[in-house]
Amino acid sequence: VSSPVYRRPPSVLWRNSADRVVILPPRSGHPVTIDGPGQALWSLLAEPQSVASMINALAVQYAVDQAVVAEALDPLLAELVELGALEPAVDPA
Amino acid sequence: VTVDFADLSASVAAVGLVGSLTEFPSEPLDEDGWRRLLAQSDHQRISGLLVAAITSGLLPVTNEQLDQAIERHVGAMGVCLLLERQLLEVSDIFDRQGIDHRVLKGSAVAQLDYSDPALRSFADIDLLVSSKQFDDAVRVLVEQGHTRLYPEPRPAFDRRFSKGTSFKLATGFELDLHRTFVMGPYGLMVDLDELWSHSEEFELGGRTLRTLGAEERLLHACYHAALGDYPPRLMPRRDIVEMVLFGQRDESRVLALAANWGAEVVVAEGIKAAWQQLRIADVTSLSKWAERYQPSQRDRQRLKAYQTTGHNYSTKSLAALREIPRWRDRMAFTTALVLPQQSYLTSRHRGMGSRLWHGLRDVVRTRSQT
Repeated sequence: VSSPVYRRPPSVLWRNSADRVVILPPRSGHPVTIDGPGQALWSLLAEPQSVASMINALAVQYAVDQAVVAEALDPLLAELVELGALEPAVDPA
Repeated sequence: VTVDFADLSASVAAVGLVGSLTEFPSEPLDEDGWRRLLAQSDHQRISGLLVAAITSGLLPVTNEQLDQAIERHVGAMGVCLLLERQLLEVSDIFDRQGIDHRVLKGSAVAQLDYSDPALRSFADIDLLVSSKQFDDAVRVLVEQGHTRLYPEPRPAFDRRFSKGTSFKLATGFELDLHRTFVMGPYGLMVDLDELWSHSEEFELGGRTLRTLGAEERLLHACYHAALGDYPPRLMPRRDIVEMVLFGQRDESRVLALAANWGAEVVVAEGIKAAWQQLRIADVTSLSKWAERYQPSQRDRQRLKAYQTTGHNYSTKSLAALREIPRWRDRMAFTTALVLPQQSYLTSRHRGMGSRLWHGLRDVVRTRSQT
């Protein structure tokens, strides 16, 4: 089963601030801030990424089990997709 | 720890410039000092540089101070993003209405002239439109529900003589619609055809926007730094250093434009003051030229109109009058300011007596300072 792929829509506006990212998603009236691993995730998404590759990269970067990353990643991805900060994409591979 | 907050703010504004000789305290500021630095950071719009000073290890802080600095920066970036969204909306409307425009300062400089746009905060939107489309641009903005802050003194005054006009947008933000860079003599002396002859593109939110060419952006930064707020803010001075040290610019074209627009003194003052305040040790051909430039007596007189605190509308208007070459235009300019339409009077001043008194007081204040 192929892993879903996500990307940042070009219309999303954002800025970095230390360990945080301030994002203004298209469907939000106000900016949202994600920090820590969320910033690392945003950085990974400079290019379209499959969920599997995100889990793998974050697990290595933070030296934790992939299951732990997957558990935290699912709700964050869902929220970012709902706000329009991320959208499904075609697998770059 | 004894701290000179003007020096410390300049040190923050120079973060990341390897050639800067600025210094930082060796230990965290006490509560009062930190509060003052945060207030300066807000006023000078350098919250991104403050965070960079801390995270690069130059400015020692407590954990609580770090959190506060990041919170301020996150807030400032939130404002910048909302402004960029609004900029995209206005730009889209102008495109659909066939109104050619250029993004000035703010987002354009952040996206094109800084390695990280998060280092360059801004608090409003600045757009340049041509004189011939100025009235159309005003009409479109009003039709979109945005509020013009000040009416023009007389019909056609703005597209002939003024710097531009300001709008309070429906979202509460401010948009400055420019026809030229500044009010007063130096704004009138800009060759507007030449200003529009070069442009550069940048990407924002999936769209392509246009701004001034690289050389014109440096000139505008110098106008902003030398003729804008008085006392000048640090951010436009950082813009100048950023552009001169790291940008790709044709320096001979910068100087040719400055000469054509009678603005060599503006460029020289802008660069010289930026180099001095941010204590830049690097020497470039432009910084060397600025250091050696000798302003004429007339340059000094023109500059005086800009170097006063508070509103100096009358002083700049008086100075502008001297730069209007045609007698007929001078009459139109004078008539508009001395006998403006009622809506202008109601908006800016209580009445003719108040207006004349206001103008007289401005001029007297300026002369007493010289």
